[in-house]
Amino acid sequence: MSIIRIKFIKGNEVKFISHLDMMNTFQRAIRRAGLESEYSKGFNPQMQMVFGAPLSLGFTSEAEYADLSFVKDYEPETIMEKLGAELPSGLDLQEAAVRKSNKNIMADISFAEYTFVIKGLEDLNDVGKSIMDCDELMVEKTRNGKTRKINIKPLILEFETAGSKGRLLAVAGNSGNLNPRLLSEAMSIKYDRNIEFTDINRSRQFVERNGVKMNPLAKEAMETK
Amino acid sequence: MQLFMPRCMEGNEMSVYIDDKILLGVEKPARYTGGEVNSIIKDHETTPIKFAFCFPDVYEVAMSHLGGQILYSIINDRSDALCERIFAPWTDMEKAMRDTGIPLFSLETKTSAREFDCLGFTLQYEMSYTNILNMLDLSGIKVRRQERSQDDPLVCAGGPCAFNPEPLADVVDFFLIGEGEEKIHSILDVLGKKLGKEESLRLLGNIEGIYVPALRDENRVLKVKKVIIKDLDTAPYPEKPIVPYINIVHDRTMIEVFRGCIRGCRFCQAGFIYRPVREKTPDLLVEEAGKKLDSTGYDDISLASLSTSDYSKLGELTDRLLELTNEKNTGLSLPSLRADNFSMELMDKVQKVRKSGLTFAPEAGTQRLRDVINKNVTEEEMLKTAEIAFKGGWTTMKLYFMLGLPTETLEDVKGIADIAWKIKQVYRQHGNASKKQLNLTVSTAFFVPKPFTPFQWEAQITTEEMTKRQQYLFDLLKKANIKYNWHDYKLSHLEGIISRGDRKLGQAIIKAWEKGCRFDGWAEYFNYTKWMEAFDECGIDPLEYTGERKESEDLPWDFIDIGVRKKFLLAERKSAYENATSPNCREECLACGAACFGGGVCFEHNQN
Repeated sequence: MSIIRIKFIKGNEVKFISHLDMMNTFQRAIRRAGLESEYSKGFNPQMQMVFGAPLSLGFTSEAEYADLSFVKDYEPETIMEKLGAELPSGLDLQEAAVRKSNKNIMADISFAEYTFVIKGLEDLNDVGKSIMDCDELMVEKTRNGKTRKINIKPLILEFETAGSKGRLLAVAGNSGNLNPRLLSEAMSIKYDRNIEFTDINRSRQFVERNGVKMNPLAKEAMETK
Repeated sequence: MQLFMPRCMEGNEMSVYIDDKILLGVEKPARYTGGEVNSIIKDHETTPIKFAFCFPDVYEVAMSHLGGQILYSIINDRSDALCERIFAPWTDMEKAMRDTGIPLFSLETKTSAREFDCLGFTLQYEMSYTNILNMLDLSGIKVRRQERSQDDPLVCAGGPCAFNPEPLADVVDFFLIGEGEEKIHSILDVLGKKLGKEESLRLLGNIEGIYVPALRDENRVLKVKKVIIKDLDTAPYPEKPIVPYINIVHDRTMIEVFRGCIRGCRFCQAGFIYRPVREKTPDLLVEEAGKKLDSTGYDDISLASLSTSDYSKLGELTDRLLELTNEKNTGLSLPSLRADNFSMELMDKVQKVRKSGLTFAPEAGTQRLRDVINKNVTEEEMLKTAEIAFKGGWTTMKLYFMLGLPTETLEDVKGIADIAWKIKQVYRQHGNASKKQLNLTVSTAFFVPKPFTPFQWEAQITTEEMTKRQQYLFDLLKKANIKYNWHDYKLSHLEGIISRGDRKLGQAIIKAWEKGCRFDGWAEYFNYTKWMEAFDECGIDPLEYTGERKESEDLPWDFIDIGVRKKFLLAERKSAYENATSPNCREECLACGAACFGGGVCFEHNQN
């Protein structure tokens, strides 16, 4: 038995594939590759795999992660080669390693970094600094049909702009999550104009160990809780 | 209606650009992005023959169609040809496309539909006709063939509804009557000559099975005989079917075990137009299933046919498929099983894998009416089957019936409720009633007289009569506390009008589309009022089409030869009125005429 953590790119070709459909896509690719996956017990056995924080429809990503469980002790290289060959164009396997810790990727992801193009900033200066310096950043969030006002400022770790380009490092995962689109809405309110993010790309994701941000495939992250 | 002219036609670019913003604004954008596993992209510069397989419905329906996958792989296997898919955009996407000037495009290379040499539509049901017109319009192509130019692609159509081609004869340049695999190469060869439209159509008209309306206009078409694949074992099948990203209607590996049906239920068009029955051998099917599972990664195999129980080597096939599915950790589904020869053994086998719901289609509530329609199943058999099923632990059952069949009385309608009630009692006696309630559903559709059936002369009951019988059954089932699903009578009425339509009726279809009708098969978009207005404005009396036809009358589809003779259909109609059943093809040959194709069940006895 082995649990292999993979890192992959979700490119332009597949950015409109939903999280659920992408999991399906991986399951079919694993079957085509002839890899022996671990299945859940019970009436309707399911392939055992855990994906990191879901990516919004329309976003690309250079840093998606999943933990795949197999009944055999596969070498990471075998997964890279066999699964890599079966993934459709747009999904590119980058790295694979054996996970020894018992914390799965979904529970482990703590931060995510996004890059994007910002529209509507033209005559504004030092937007990054003014966002980072403000005490609160209020926006309306609708969830389960209920709209409430929330302050997203505590979720922002870093935000900077250069020309029309933007970069955001934010809290992600189970302990809170900031979708870059929510930031653009907050900025539209703050600056009283229509600010839009396009070409949103998740560039990095991190786990945290002893207060340190870490690559989810780093040796320390894979071996300790 | 404002005709639509795509912006890109002014330039000469082939690929359409679709902004992210549009895709983010529509439901399920993956319907439009393509790029699925096993989809094929070829170079338009170096591939001379460009064919687009067009399905006039939304992606999830289109991708569930086995025939499309077959044609796709045959055409793309040729080095001189390419086939791409074009489906009907859902209404939200259509609006976005019209608002921004995006023409209809292919999934593979996003090429504008107008750039293809030929657009091949499949006609699976009449309610998709307005979508064809809409797709042509979205492509910047005039809906009437007489108004199109030399530069427009040829528009062709095939599939079951093409057997009555006249309602679309002013829209479609040529029809293929019968099985597409048989003549697709001949069609591509003509397209490859790159001749003018008229010349191409003249050559196409010489190919067996092809009907060119323009030639009939000049009285140069007398008879068109359908074409079939004589030996299904030699027919190509897609070894690598496209695997959609999003959930589709039939999200599994499908293998076609046979074509046609030996039964000859008198209302069923498929039972006659696909004659003779031709089977594939288990060896080939097991090989096909293995290849398809390996190339798709699907976790379920389903057998496709009109009546799976009638496959002559079903025991052997299921045994061998179960070996395969156990090895590969996949499931096996056996749809279209009949209630009469549903064996304990077979049910046990399927049970090992999954216990999905059972579906039976007795179609009529009394033995008399079942004899009229030649549905050779008795109540005793049905109850026996139910007993076996319930003892085996099944708890879900669906029963399908038809209302308005010829000679039906309220007594027959009451028979539907009676059967359902008896099945409930069987469950009480033999099922696991203490643990789980029986989940029993009765569904009814209205009888629609179809061309090439013994009932092609029959009247469809009036809409008043439809509501009356439906209400009667509703009350009975409500009293018995049985779940009831029914069809919209208005939709059945419209189907009744179109299915036996002629060329004149085609004008009303165009009119209905101009009034905004599309996705008529989808309850949320079906607009009965607009259709009735369209008939009225075209001077068409719907009753003329739903009423009884004289046996002496020339029917609009008489010039199509399906092998089965009109004389045979008349004899079957006579038997119906005498409550006399007919044997199935394996019991006794009634010389319907389908033997003229020289293959299939008609010659099975010679092999044994």
